[in-house]
Amino acid sequence: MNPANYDLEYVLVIALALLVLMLLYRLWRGPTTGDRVLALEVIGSLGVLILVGLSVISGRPIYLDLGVLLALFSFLGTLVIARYLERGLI
Amino acid sequence: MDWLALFILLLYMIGVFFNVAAVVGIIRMPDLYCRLHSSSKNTTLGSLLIVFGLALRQFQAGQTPAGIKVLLIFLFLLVVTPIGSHALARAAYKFGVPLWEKSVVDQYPEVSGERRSSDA
Repeated sequence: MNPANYDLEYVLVIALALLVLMLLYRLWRGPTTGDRVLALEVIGSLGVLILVGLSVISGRPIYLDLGVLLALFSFLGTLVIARYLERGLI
Repeated sequence: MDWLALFILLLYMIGVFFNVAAVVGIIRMPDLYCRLHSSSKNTTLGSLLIVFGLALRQFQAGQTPAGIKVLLIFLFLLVVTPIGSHALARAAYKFGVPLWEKSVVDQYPEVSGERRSSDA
């Protein structure tokens, strides 16, 4: 066990949060529904990265389970909306 | 100098670079299909590099079970991200999202024999 110094992970998490803020622009004015779904999918992926980074920083593995759940439900939401756009029913 | 820490720093930097490229592509590209082209590959590679770096960091800190769980998230993201992008692109094409007006070629109808709903 070396002494913990997680400055690098703090910088990583803050950079990813800034990317999420930039993606809110595309979520706000996507011309089509697909653009908004794409922005939400990438926001979910970045959220998984942020949760794993916070787990590493705080040393609590419970955040990893939250990351798995977020990835799973983001993926399921994308698939359901894609199926709805394609066929008109879920 | 600790070579493992340097390698983890390199993984973080390359991963953040690819994620920034994906976000800039999503904001700047003219078309949903161009945005998907920009986002799917860059997001997959960037996320995988960052998650692999975080797993190495957990192993370095001596927390092996948490590191193995992070590696499971690695495998899950590796499978899931391209599937979502593919389903979204296919659904948007069949829904009739218009292509960019400077698009050169669209080989989907002659390959699959199907028509878009907006062209019928």
